[in-house]
Amino acid sequence: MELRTLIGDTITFNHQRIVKATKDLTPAQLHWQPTPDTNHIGFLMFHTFRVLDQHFHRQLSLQGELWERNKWGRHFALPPAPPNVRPAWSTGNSWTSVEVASFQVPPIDQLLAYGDSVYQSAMRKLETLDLSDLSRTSTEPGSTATVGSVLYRTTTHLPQHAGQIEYLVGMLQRKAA
Amino acid sequence: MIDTISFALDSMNKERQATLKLVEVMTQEQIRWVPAPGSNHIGFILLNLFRSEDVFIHTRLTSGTQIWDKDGWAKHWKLPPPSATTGPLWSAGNGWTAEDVASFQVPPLKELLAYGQAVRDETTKVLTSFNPTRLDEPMNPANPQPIKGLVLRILMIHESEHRGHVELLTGIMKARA
Repeated sequence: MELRTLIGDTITFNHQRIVKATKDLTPAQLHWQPTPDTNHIGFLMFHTFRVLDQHFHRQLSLQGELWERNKWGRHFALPPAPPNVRPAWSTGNSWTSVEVASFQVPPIDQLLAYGDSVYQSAMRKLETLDLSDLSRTSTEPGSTATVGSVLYRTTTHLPQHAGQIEYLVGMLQRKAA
Repeated sequence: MIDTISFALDSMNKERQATLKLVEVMTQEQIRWVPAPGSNHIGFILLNLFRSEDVFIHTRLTSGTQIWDKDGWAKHWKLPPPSATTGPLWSAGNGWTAEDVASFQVPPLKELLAYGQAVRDETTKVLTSFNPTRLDEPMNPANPQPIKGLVLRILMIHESEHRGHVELLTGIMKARA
């Protein structure tokens, strides 16, 4: 089994489980939080898709994120950005609980459409990504992250949040029963 | 060039460190805490994580004796009684009902973590001496699929998804404290 297969299968498996767990959720379910400080499913999905976009289109290639290239940002009402934020802020990184709570999650179809376009594009990029030297620096300007560390983040970040989404969906189902 | 096995093992070890950092300071009460009836607690999540690794390494990748049996943990810990439809992964927490999880007498955290470490030590030994070409061999000689390499994907994803669960539960616990 090649490393490329391990990474690709990991991305695919976790993308599919997120879709399966969330495709029938209502807007209220996407916004539900067990406590006011807990991330809701809508935010977790947005964040997971945005980070995959960042990894493959800013850190592993110079293509530019689909978020900007395809103007996905127009369909998502993010909370107002604080002054001097880093580019990663638009992925949901370092959001406060107030920002998470105020995030207007788009309809599930739109959220999944963005996730799917990122997933498809990331998989195409992975096919040709040079994996011979993972210690080389990523393509993100000014970043010292290596390609290996970005791929490590990709293959751990997705299942971390997929697991959280499934756990929250489980809580919602038991609450409704 | 980093190989598939090193990438997976490195990922699993980094994720484990992050999980341990959260759980090592917990009380027995905290590892048994659930945010809602029917949800999994951290004690169960850890049992499932460690036991699954033990099972997969010793039955799917190699045919060795599990640490669970070799070191006497199977006799030491009391699991809920298996049901009539119990599968081979029952003792790893697979197929447990919410009642099974709730009735599970979580062993002292130190013991639980000692078992997890013993399994990881063994996993490291097995994986570092495993010939990478064997990852493409079938797990069961009678069927071409799945291949042994799938074990790496399962263990890597499992480690990250349970880290995600522990982080989620820790956050909810703190918010409700």
